[in-house]
Amino acid sequence: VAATGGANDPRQRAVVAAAADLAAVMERAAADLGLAEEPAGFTVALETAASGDASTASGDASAASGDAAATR
Amino acid sequence: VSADWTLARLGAAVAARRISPVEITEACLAAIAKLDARLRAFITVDGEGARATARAREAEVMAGRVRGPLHGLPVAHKDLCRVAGAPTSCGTATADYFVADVECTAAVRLREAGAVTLGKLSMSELAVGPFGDNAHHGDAVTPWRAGHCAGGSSSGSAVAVAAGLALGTLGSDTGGSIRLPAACCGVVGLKPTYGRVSRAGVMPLSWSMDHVGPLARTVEDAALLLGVIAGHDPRDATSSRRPVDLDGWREPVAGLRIGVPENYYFDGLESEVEGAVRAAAEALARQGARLRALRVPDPALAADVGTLVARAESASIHARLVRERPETLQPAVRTRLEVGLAVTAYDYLQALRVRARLARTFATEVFGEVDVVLAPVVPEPAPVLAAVKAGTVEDVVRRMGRFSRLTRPFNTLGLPALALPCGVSADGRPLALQIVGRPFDEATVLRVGVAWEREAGGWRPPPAA
Repeated sequence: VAATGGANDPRQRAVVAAAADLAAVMERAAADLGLAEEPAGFTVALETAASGDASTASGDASAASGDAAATR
Repeated sequence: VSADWTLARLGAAVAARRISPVEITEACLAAIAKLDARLRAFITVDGEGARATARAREAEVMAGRVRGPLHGLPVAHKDLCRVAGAPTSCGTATADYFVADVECTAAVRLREAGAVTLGKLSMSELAVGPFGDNAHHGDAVTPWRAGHCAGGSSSGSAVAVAAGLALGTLGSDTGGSIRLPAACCGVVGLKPTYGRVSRAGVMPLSWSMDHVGPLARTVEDAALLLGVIAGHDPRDATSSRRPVDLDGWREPVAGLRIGVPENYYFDGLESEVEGAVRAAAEALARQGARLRALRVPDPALAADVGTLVARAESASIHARLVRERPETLQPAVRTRLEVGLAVTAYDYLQALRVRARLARTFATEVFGEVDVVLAPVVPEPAPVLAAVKAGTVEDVVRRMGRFSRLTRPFNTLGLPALALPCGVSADGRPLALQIVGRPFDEATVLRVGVAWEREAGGWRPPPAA
């Protein structure tokens, strides 16, 4: 855990507990995933489920934004 | 600012030269001067810039040029949208936290459509937090009841519209951040389908969960704003190329199938919230819509998947701030970001795979049966601000999760979701409902929304404004 502070720090305890809880949920949920389920399947599901017969081309993942952005 | 001022009404009046963009802009600036010290909706007000733009739009009208229905109308943007000439604090202690080579595409599209930009709006720090409190810029409050939450994270976006400080605003929604403040402030907020509105020039909190969308006084105004900002943008790699089709949103709802969830969404609500949402469903049924009770696929899991994905992605984006200047962050914001640093690659990837499964299952099982789903937005009306900030950081983080539990599943699923008013509680706080549709079917979501709005008697301003 990258959080700063000692093990007795209540905030760090909250961080560790929250991450562990989420990991446990995912472990249970992933138990019955098919091998073919892929991380990018979410956007595919959106386009597939969309109504109408308009273009189904999804956001072009290869057309990554060439514009720089940063946080300070 | 008049209570009956809406974008649609004023846009027609401007085009017909019955009112000047300068007059409208001055009215909003006067309302900001009068009310914003108390409401804390704005971080930056660009009065001179707005006046200059309003004069230019007025000159265009007089020369016979009207750019569209938003010509000369005052809008404002959440302070995570980069707009040339103004700092972008993102609600942090750093005046210009987010820097980018490009301006916010949605803001640029509004400007090119003739809208007048008034300034940048308050928000929860880094768009993390559903209550609208902000230790650096002041806590935004709902204009409906003193000392109560504005909702977040697009707090200023909702307050400004409710109080008449601006007539339309941009917000962003990663776990409910457009819909929660809309619900707390009694205005309309639309989270479009993932990919429908460009995120270019907007501070990312979580790439795959972030949505940009409008807040406005009426459903029609939200539709006008969406019509301008939606559509493919090559600057956003996740922007969909699917054509924007909002036709049909004024059609009656007779024959539409409306799903009312039997599981999760009505658990543990304050009774007035449940009563108002169920009454809205019955009203829509009287207009000919067919109600169907149904079980929706595991919303609690969808919420948890969204939480894990958002934590991991936000930690990746804001790691430098968390590691180098953690003491500048509000404790709950810092804690949530640090959780993301503790998420493993394995869990993140499994969450994305579960998300794909949930999205497919929801589309098949729910939209095979109904056209939209109707649900509450928040489990309780705008809570007391001091109460939501009280206790340990664990208390606050837990409270944040509970308050956004009805909105987060639809970020995970990427579905269009409209929040709109549905009455007022006995003690004067706004109540709200949420209409969720198929991917890219914002038209049907708006159609149901406007049908309900007609039934409810239209926009109702807060008494304090």
